Amino acid sequence: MVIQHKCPSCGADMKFDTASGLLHCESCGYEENIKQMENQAEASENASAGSYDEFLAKTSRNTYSDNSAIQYQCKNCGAVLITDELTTATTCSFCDAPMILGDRLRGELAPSKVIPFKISKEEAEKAFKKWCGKSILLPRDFKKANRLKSITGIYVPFWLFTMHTRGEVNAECTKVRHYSKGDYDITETKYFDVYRDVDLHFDKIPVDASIKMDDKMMDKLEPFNYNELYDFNTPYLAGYLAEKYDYTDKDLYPRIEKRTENYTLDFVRQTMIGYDGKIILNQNIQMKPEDAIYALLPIWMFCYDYQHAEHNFVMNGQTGKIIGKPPISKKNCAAIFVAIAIISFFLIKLIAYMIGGVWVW
Amino acid sequence: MVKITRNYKSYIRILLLLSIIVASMFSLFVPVKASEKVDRVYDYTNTLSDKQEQELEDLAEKYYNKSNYNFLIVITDTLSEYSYDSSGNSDTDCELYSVAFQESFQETYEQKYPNCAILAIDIKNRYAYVSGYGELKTKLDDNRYDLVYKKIKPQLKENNWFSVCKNYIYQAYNYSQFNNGIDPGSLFYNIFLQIGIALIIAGVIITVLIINSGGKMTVSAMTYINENNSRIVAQHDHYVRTSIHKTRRTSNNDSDSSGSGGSSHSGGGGHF
Repeated sequence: MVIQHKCPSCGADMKFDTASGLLHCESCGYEENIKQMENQAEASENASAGSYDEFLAKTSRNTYSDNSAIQYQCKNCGAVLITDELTTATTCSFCDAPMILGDRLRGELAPSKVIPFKISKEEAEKAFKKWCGKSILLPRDFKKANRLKSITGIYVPFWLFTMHTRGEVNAECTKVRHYSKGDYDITETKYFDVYRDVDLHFDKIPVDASIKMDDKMMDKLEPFNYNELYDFNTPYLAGYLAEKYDYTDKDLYPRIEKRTENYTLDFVRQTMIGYDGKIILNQNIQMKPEDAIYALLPIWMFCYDYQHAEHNFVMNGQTGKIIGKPPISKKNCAAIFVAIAIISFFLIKLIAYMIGGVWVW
Repeated sequence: MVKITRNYKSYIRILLLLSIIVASMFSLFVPVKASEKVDRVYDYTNTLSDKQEQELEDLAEKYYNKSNYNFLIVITDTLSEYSYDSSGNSDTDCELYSVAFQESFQETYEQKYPNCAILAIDIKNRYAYVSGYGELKTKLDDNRYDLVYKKIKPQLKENNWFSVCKNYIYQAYNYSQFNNGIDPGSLFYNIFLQIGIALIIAGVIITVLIINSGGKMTVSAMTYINENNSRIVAQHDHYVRTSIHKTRRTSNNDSDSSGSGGSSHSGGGGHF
C-alpha cells in the first residue's frame, strides 16, 4: 500500500515543511495540520507502546520476509518503485513524488513516536558548509564543501528505552591534604568507606535500531529534544526517506544495559561529594527495562567525495549537531602543533620572567 | 698716536675678557672630572694577555654601568702569602683570601664601591671561589653563587681562563637580576623542561582537537535521569584511617663546598 498525501485543493503532492511543522503543498501553498489528521497506515490499529510485555510480544517477531516480495507502484507516474526491504518512505525515482509505504508502518512495525525534521535541506547544507569551513584541521579544498555528493533526510528507527535501575556500590574514597611542618612536606591521606544504594529511573535513552548506521556516530548525535516527540503519523515522512528497524528492542539489550550501568555509576560518583579520589570496590547493579518506544528520529546524511574516498557525515535533523570523520590535514596539524608549542613556550617564558624578574634564555 | 695706543690696549683687554668668557662657557660642556678608573681584573699570574685583561676590564665596566655592581676577578698562585688560615688549609684560603681582597679593594677605593662580587681562582691548587659583598651578598645568595660556579666549572676544567672570566661576569650579572627568593636553578628555569612542557601542551591540545574534530559526546547520566523518580535509598561515609607521607625538603646545594653562613659575605666554589 503506497500512501501519497495529495493536496485537497489542487491535487499536487504535499510535503512536510520543517519551518511550520505542517504538511505543505508547494504548488498552491495549502497547509494541513498533521496532528489533526488520521493515521492512514494504522487505520484502526492502536500505535501506542502499551505495557512492556505486550510490546515485547509485539516486536520480537520478524516480518521482513513478508514484505520483500511486494512491489510498489507510484500513483502519479505508474513507475515501479525500486527499494530495499527496510525502506518505509522514499520518493519516486522518476517523478520525485513522496511515497510512504503504509504496510511497512503497520502493526508490529508501526512507530509510536516521531520527532519531525526541524532543519530544512537548504539549512542543513548551509550549516554543513559552515561547519567544514570552521574546522582548522581540515584540508583547504575540503573546507569548500563543493564536492558534496548527496544530502539525504532520513528518519532513522530508534528504540527509546525507559530503564529502572537499583544499584549498590561500595567505594574507597580519599581526601588528600598537603602542608609543611618544619623541614618536612607532609601529604595526609584520609580514607573513607563509602556506600551508596540508589534507585534510579532513566527516561527515553535512545538507541538506534538501524544496521546501516554507525552506533558511535548515532550516540554522539544526541541529545534530542523530547518536547517535540509527537505521536507518529505518516505525513511527517512525506518528502523524506524512512526505514524500519533492523534490531528489535531485545536485540539492543546489551547496548542499553552497558549504557545504563555506566550512567548509574556516573550518578553514584556524583553523589560522592568532597573526595579527591574515588575507587569503586564492588558494585551490584540490577536493571529492568520499563518501556521501549519505537520512534523515528530525523537525521540528515551527507555524502562527500574527497580524494576518491567517500566521507559520511550525519546531522541531527532537530538540533543541527554534526558528527562525522572528516579527513584531517597532516600539514595543518603540524602547523597548529608548532604554533601552539611556540606560543606556550613564550607564555612559560613570560611567567618565568614575571616570577623571576629576568629573561632567561 | 697716544689715543691710538690706548685704544689698542683696550682692544687687547676686551679680547682677553672675551676669551675668558668663551673658555669658561666651553668648560661647561667638558666633564669636570673624568670618571675614576677602577681596576676590576687582578691577574697576578699573567695567564691572561694584556689584550684579554683589557677586554675583561671593559666588560666589567660595562656591567658596572648597567647594574652599579662591581664584578671583580683575581687570579693567583701564591695564596699562602695572603692566607689568614694558620692551619694551611688551602680550600678555606681561597675563601678567606676573597674576603681579605675585598677589604683591601674597599680601602683602595675609600668604600665607594661596596657592592661587589669576586671570582678568585687559585690556579696552583685548582680551586675557585665566587663570593659577594654589600648588596650582592643578598642579591646573590649561596645558592646563586653555586649556580654561577657550576656554569663556569666546565671552562675551569679546560683551563680556558679568559672564557671563565667572561662567563663569570655574564652569569653573576644575570643571576643578580632575579627577584629575591627565587631559585634560578629550579627546574622551572630549565630551558629543556620549558620546551618539554610547551611540546606536551601542544600535543594534548592537538590530540583533543583531532579527537573532537568529528563531534563529541554531549550527553551524560543527567540528560536522561528522571529526577522526580530517582533517589538515594541508603548511604554512609565511614572514616577508616589516615596515612601520612613525609618528605624532607631538599635544598638545592650539591656543589663541592659552599659559603659561610651569617658571615660578611655569601659565596660558593670548589675544586675543578
